[in-house]
Amino acid sequence: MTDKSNTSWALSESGNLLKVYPTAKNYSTFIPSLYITQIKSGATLFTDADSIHDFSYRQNNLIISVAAPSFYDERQIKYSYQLTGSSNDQWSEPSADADLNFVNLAPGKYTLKIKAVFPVAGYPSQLLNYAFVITPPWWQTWWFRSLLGIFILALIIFVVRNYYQGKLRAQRSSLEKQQAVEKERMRIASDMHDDLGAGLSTLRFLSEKVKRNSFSEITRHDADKIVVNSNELVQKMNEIIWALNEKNDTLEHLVFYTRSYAMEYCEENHLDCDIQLPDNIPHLFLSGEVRRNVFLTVKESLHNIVKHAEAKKVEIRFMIDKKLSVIIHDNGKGFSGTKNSDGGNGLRNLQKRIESVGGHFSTSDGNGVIIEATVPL
Amino acid sequence: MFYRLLIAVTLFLYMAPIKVCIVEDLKEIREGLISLLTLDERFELLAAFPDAEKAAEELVAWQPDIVIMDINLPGMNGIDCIKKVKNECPATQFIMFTIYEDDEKVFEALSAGASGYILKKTSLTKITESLLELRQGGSPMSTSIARKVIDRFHSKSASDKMTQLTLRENEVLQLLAKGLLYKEIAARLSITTGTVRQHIHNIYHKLHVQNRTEAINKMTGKV
Repeated sequence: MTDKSNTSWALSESGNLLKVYPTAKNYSTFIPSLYITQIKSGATLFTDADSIHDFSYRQNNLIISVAAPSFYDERQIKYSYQLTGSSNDQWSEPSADADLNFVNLAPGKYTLKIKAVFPVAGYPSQLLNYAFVITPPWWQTWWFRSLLGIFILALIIFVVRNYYQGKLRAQRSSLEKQQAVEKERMRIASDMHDDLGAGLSTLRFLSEKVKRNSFSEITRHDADKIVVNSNELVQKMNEIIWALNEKNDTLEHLVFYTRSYAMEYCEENHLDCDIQLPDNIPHLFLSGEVRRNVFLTVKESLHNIVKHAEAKKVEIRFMIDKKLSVIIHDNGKGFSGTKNSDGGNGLRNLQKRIESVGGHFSTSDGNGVIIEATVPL
Repeated sequence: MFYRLLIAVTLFLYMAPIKVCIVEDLKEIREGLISLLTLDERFELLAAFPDAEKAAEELVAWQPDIVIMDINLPGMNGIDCIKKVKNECPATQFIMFTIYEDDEKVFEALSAGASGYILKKTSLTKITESLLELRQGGSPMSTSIARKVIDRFHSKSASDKMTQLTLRENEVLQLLAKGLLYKEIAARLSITTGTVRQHIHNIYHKLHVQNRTEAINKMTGKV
């Protein structure tokens, strides 16, 4: 029983009345200590928590037992904890369970805060900090990871480099092969050029000598034919070399070369020639095959005109947009006036030439013959 | 009296036959040229050589007006032969005698100091005409050679005054490169074909001077 002055009176079994002076000191001077009694890590038991702070990643299931001896009803003590460093760092619900169970802790640094509350005994609550580390396995250590990163990076670089080097080597070897073919082509051409050219020139000079020294009209006529033929062969050789020389692989070269040939040929054959070119000729690559076929189409067309058309004038027009078109228009007698079947054959050859380089070839009558050849650029 | 003598000397010099040497390895062609030139009184054939080595030795002594020079010769070629004797034959014009007009070597020869070329397919009567024309300063130039000349002059931006082309010379070159005939160029620029030839002759001269300067610069280490 407690009276107004907060003095308790107690009656003993023997009938004595006991007066108990309440001294606050009695309560407050005793502070229960909170400590870890044992840590069970896997199968190993550590009884001294201070001696162990590092746990292997293999022993990452910890049971930490705590106690707070308070000489009062210890079952009433509630424990609550907070584990910083884990995914859940909330304070746990206070519970009477003194064994804190941590399952499958990831490697890392942890700080465990434990709080003991004494709701019945009324002691002030106690706090305990316990720091520990779960050491990562070797393959999760930073040095291993960085080494692994470097290794993978090196591997990637190696593979990529190998790939590109291989590709480059393949490219180089194909280029070398191409260059060798090109070189051989030029060598054959140049041999042909020099040797055949010299031979033909000799032939021409000899024929001219024969012509001068002969009194027979027929011999002179034949010698003249040899001269003309050998000159034509030299011209043809020149055209082959021109087509083979990759320095001439542009649209410009084709147009100017053709123009120069046409003007000269028409002049020699007393044919009035009007050539129209676009003002600006785009700088475009054009293979020797295309150049040769277009040039020969113009050349053979002019030859046909001189031979068969009885024309006074020829107009040659180059048009360039996405395609190259060459239009050759003479003012001769046209197809209708020609009986020659060979002319048809020649035209078919021209058509084949232009179609072999993906172009289009057509002819039409219209105050003479209009020949139109178009090739893609 | 003095004037008469002067006129006589001038006339004599003017009428004097053009002194020619031939360098050509093919016997038939060489003989063809020999018979052509010996029959023509406007020319005086001094010597004909079958190879460049012999020609290089003797040309300096002959000092001809014109050398008809083949390009492909058995040992030393015609281009090297020109390089060798050019400085010691200042008055001599070297004319290349070539099969093909578009030959790289023709351009090389022109850079080395040749003042023109004659194609081997030219008929014999026209060869003499060409020689006379060349003597008077006219030179031929094909489309492809014009292109090469343009490239050469364009690539050397820092060329000295001696080798800079005049505006007219440039115009002539550009038209030639586009495949125009002399006749057309003359009409377009309102000049005579003779003037066109004269321009081309001067261009060849500048090409040679530039080529030589470049060679000297290379030797002395200047850029």
